[in-house]
Amino acid sequence: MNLIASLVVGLLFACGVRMVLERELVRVACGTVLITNSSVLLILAGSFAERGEAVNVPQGYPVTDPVLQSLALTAIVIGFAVSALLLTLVHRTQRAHGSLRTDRLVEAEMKRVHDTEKEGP
Amino acid sequence: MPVLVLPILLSLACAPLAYFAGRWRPGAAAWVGAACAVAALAALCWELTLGPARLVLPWAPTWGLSLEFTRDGLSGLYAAMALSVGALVVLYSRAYMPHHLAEEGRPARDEVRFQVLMLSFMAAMVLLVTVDDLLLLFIALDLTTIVSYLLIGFDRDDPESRAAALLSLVLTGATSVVFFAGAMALGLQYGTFSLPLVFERAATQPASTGALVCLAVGALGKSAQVPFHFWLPRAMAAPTPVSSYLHSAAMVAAGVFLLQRLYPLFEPAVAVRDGLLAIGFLSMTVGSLMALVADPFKRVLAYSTIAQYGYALVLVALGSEGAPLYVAAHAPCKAALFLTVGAITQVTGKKKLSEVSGLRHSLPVLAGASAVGAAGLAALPLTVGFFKDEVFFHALVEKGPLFMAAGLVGAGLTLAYTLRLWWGLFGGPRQDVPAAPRLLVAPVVVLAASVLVGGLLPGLLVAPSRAAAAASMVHGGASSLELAYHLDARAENLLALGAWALGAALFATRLTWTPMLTRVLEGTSKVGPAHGYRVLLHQLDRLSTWLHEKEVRDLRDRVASVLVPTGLLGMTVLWVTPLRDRFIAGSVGWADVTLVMALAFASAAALATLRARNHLVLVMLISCVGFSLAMVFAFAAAPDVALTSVLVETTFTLLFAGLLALLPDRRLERAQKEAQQPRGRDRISAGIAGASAFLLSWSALSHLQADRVGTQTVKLAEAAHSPNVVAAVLTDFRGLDTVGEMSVVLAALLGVTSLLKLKGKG
Amino acid sequence: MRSFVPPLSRMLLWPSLIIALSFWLKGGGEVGGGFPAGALAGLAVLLQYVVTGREQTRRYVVVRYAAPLAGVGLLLVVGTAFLPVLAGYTPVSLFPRPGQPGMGAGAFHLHTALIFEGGLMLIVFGLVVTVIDRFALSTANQGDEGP
Repeated sequence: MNLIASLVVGLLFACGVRMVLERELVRVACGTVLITNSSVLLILAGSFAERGEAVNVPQGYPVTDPVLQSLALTAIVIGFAVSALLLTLVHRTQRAHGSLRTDRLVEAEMKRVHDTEKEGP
Repeated sequence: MPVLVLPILLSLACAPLAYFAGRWRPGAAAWVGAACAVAALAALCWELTLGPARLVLPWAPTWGLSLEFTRDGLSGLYAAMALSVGALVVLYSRAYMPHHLAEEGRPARDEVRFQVLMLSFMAAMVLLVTVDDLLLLFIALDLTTIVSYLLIGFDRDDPESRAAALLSLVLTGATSVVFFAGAMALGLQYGTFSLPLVFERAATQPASTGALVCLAVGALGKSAQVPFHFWLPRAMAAPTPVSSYLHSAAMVAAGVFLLQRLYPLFEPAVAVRDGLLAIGFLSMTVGSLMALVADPFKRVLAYSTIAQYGYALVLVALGSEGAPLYVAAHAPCKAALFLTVGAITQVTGKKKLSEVSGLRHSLPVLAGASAVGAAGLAALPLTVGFFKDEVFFHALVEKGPLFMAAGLVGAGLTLAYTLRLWWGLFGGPRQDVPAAPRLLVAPVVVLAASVLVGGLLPGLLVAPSRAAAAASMVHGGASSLELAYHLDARAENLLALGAWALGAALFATRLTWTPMLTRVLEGTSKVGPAHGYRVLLHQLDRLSTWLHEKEVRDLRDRVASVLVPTGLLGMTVLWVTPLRDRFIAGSVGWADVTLVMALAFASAAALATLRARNHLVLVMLISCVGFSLAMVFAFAAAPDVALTSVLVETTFTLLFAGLLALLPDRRLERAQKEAQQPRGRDRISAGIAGASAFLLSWSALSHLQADRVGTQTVKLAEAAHSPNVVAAVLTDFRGLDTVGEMSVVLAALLGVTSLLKLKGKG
Repeated sequence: MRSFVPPLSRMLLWPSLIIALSFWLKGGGEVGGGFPAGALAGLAVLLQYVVTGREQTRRYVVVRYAAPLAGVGLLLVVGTAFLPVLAGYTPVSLFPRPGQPGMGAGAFHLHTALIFEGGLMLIVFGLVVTVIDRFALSTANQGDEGP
């Protein structure tokens, strides 16, 4: 079970990285979401080996580790908050630069740098 | 017990009181501040008669931190110096600043700001000398650094002033960070930051040389000693009251004070003290030589300060009991001279020795008072300065003829540049200038009077200097320092006579050697540390530009350049640790089938996202991954997680779809087409990152502790009145974490609102 | 023909919010808690936005003041966590303390953790609703200036 879980974690992570490295912002956002998912899975995978009932546990019955559960819970919520921010950022960038491509952003940034250097001493 | 804090509280109160007085009437700030400083001084003097005491206020007892203050001879001497010179300088600025501000074209109200800063600096200085804890020493040291930055850069419209302030901030700030490192090392070594405890433990177990060197670097940077000396002449760009306070009695004194305060640690470390000795002599030489040729008055005084603190450093390094006395005797002389040149600059508008002469006819009182100050600096008899050189020579006589010769030359140079300065200002052909305002002259007269009183009645000085020496240089013992005039042929007297002869000779022949010395010094300044600093700054600037260009050239490479090395590093770590052979595959029973199926579904969806032809499909696949994982959580008997996951995933999918609706179709299509040309190295980067994540998580899952916190929380949850263990963990056991992460969520919310303002453009 | 979806969705709002509240209140004893409660409530509002549009949905006070609500939530969370410090307890001490008799019936427990969870719920709810609202606003703006 360990092997399978960590394989899936690795796979999700690799897909996420692959998408983050794309040239387009929507896909970058998707990539970070995948990476978030992989980390949540990793956190909860610690309890796969001895999972049980989470609520109203009878004495002596195996329990899914509640600490890991709460960690995963917070990871999900924070992941959502950050992804929402990211989506907003994508939207805002598109509105400001009129492009969804990272290389366009780079061009704009370089232009800005050169302009300020010209203005400076 | 609470008596001890009275002078500290009064000095801390100076700045706020002056501020409110200044709100009422700008001119009142100086008077109120000075009165408060005098009150603090009186409280201090009264307390010093009560004998040494300590005050410990617990701060964070669990970490062994407390606010510790001390009242001993050393802190008393330095605090008295800071308060008295501070009060005089504040009054002087009352007369100086309006004129200065008018010249700079700034409103007169800015004077209040200036006075408040000066008084804050004074408070920081009093704090520095009264604390008795390594960490508090560092904090107070940084406070002085920050306020001095604001003071040196007070003329904020002047680029030179700003650059000088930045330089002093960078140098003294960087060296005080080194000091902090030393303090931390000592704290770890002795398990406490409280100085008396540290000294006690250091008696049996000497401090490590590295820590001592760090502490010494911090002190040297503050005291403007070679090789950190070059910030001081630059700092002369500040208004003159700042220079006369910070660079005579306060900021530069802080470095030497630190060494004296920590002397019990340095006492056994002979090698470190030898290094300090060499630096002291070097600073003496460099400072004196530069002072001999510098043209602006304030620069002459700045180089002289470097040289004089070189003397003090030598005294500390030799373990002489006269070190505190030296600093205390130097302060009024130097402050008097600074205030004199400030007054001259205000009256004449000139800043260089070559531009003025013969002012003794127009400014007789100033000439007389500054002559006393200069005599004190040059260690002529009947001034307090005589005794500073006497203790200096006394310390050198014990070391042998070579040291005596060096001391003689140093003292001779001091007399030469002091004469040159005073004669350059007041001697020579007559120049007529308007009279100086009384308030500009009065502080100089008071300082000169104190210099004379100290010289005429040396008995007054013996008790405070002995107390100061007893508190630092001879720890635990009594000081046997003697101050008196002896009219016999002892070595100290002979050395003093030789120094005066040398100084007079140098001054008489100054026209012959000045041009040559100027050329030599100009040549060396091209390779000195100041040049090194400039080059370093320039190169750092270039490096940052270069990095920025590299960084933004391609965002993808930047991401890859973080992920790939991290992945490789993770795998390397796994390879070299002994855990590498212990991967556990784990068993898969019938009960796990549902779990595996859900996982497989998630993986398939994740793989499919890479091939998604269109954004809507992409979003659907991403949410598919999320829902599959929610299913996994449900099968893993984590219902809270699964529930939240489903809800969050639904919301997220809808939001994402909403985003797609917001983005123009044409751009989406074009972006889609371009995204279909993947680069080979992206695949490799992703592969490395994924493999590393896989191996690391496998290793982590294979080494789970058998006895985990989770089982404990289940037991504790019942006691915490919360049958739902997950909720108990979230709200109770790890409640502080939850508070922290809620602030993250709120920060994201604020980010969203500020990015998409309600009434933003378009 | 009038669609039956808008009235239905409006009917669904209040039950959803009540379920969210119940998630919150019984979080101490059963599945639930502040996070799912907030997410569910947010989702209910999201449904209104999708079906009836921004103008209609903003008639509800809760929706208009979502962002300040999140601030209130943070105050609740921080207050529950740090007010006990003033009384000499460690941070995040909840009452009744372990060992003191608890109050409540069934899955419902009277506990300061409830206030804490309420704060979590408000924060998550505020985040979700604010993000939706801003996106909806942008959509409306874009419609105005579209080709």
